[in-house]
Amino acid sequence: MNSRFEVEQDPKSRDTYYLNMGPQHPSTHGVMRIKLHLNGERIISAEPIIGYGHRAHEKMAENRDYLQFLPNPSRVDYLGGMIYNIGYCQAVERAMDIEVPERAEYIRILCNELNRISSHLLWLGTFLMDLGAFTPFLYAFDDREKILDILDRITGSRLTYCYARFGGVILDIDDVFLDNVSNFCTYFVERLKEYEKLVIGNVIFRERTIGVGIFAPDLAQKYAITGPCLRAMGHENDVRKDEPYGIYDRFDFDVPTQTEGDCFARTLVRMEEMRQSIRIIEQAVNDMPDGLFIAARVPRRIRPPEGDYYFCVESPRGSFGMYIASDGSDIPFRLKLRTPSFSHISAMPAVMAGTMLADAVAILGSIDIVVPEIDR
Amino acid sequence: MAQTELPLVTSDPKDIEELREQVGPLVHMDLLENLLNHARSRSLWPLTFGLACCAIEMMAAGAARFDLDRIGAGVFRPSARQADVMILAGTISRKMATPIKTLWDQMPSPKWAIAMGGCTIDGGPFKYPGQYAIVEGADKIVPVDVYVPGCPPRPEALFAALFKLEEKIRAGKKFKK
Amino acid sequence: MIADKLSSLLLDTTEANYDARGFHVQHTASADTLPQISEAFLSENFHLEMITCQDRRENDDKFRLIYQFNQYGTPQRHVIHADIAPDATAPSIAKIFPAADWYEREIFDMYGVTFDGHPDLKRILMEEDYFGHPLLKDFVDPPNPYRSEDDA
Repeated sequence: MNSRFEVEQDPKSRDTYYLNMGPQHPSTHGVMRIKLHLNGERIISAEPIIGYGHRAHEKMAENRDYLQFLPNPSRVDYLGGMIYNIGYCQAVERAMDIEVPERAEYIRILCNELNRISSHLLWLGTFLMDLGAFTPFLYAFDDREKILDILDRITGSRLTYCYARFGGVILDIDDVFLDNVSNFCTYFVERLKEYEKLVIGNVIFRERTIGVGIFAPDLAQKYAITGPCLRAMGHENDVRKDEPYGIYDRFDFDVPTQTEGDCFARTLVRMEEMRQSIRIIEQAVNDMPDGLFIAARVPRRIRPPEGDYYFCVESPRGSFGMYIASDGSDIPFRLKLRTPSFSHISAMPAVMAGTMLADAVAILGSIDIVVPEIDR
Repeated sequence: MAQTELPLVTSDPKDIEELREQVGPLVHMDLLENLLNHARSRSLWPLTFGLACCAIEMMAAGAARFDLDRIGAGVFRPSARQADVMILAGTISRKMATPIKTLWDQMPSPKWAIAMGGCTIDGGPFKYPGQYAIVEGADKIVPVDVYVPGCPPRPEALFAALFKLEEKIRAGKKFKK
Repeated sequence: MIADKLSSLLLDTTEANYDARGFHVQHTASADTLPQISEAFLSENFHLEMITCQDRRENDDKFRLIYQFNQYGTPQRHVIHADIAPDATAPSIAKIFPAADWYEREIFDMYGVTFDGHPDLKRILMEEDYFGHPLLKDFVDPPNPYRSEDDA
């Protein structure tokens, strides 16, 4: 056996076989392939094969200047597009030392958190569809459309936003937007209770997720797990708290944690995160200051001083980092995107070994992968 | 009789051709074809197949608000053997080109392809000098029937594409442009 | 403390301005010492955030490997630069940090840098029979059927 990951296996058993999951498979959430070595229904080893969604973002960054790269980050992870778009702007702003007006910072926080909820809702719908439940998919998408309407009104796009600019955002918001957001908050808090009744209490869901796909405690350090997967293992880590970027340090919110590290814990963490996002949004709506939405003076040529820069933001999937190596020109010398899904998928051989075939689908769904984010 | 009699058994192609001209088609298929095309156009079964960003809009089109089931195109099939429309939703990487060809070959005829989004039309935002990873246009791999522009196109645009495809299917071979 | 363990292994250490750079300490090391450095970070509960590479052949005829370690809780980001000659190999740290496995494969795929002692060094993003290393600065995509002809 040529497996790199040793699992106990009966040497006399002759009925092991390989099963190819993907590249086109409904539960891989895109185009990814997992080569499963099975003994009956039990997975002996799993080898993810990635690259089917490789679009060469990093090469693109080396071919165009900082402003021209602006539409790309939201296509790296299209579910958290706003967070990536704003994160990239913040990375360049820090390298260039550009001041961002108060109002722009608040707008960014609002958009970030709305986007986080919409991403978690999509995850909820597709994860439960992987487990065989169709109703939550329709419910979650219905609510997601409400968020998309709100964001569509100010940004003009539903999915791949390009709303942030260096020094602020491109267009101002109005009172109708703020009303829409606060109406959505009151509606969604009630709706979350419904989701919890519908999903968390469900016996089939519990059977499929409790004790399934446990991330062993030492896995976090070995594979650099971040985000909700890490918080489901008992670490209280969130980039928004640890290295507050933007103005996250002004907001009062909790970092939900669970200790089990299984699929069920990851679900609970994400459900609670949506509630915390609502808390942040409510505070941001109340404190929204007047003023400029984009800095009055932004340098015309974006040329960060020579050297390395690293900036990370909390994406719905984990810590998304941008490493920018500048040589003092207006084109990045090297731009590396450190994506959380890449780390999580690289841990899959260790997590999946020894589980059942049906659990592989649950595990993949619960870690919330976005394939072009793995492949970039 | 003055007419030359045709031999009953012949292997000469010239004679067969003459026979055809005299007898004409035994069964007229036009009506049946029209009926079949009509049925086909009203129950398009797409392949569950998302490549990148556009796949999310394809899912949104299938979900509660837009609801592809209204036009009979909401039965997403995970298996290529049961599908008859391939919605190419997202950037096609070169590594993915071969699997897509395989999937296309696995689909039973008659089959159609919709190229959704700028990437599948000509590479879209990812086309630039130095690009090494993507296929610049889905028509380099599979024959595309309808192109939907946008990055990503809205679900309404996907609906428009499906209506166009229905039109094309109903028209049969008479479809122009 | 991590600083004591590292002091004998590194060539140079500079404190970085965290507010501008996003990391706390920047080190320069020789590539041979990377496994020992990784061991030191492992024993101090750091995790490997990422590995990346720069093609600096035009500047100083070197590939620069960049290792970034961080710890949970209070962030403490250490960046290690290790320069290697274009034809040299670097030691793999995949046995110490399994996360390095895929990052090293990615660097091999994109830059052609090989890692000694890697369990299974093969391409990760491109196809296995791909001919080149696309992120090299002088990489040119040859004409192929997947390109449109109207390319500038």
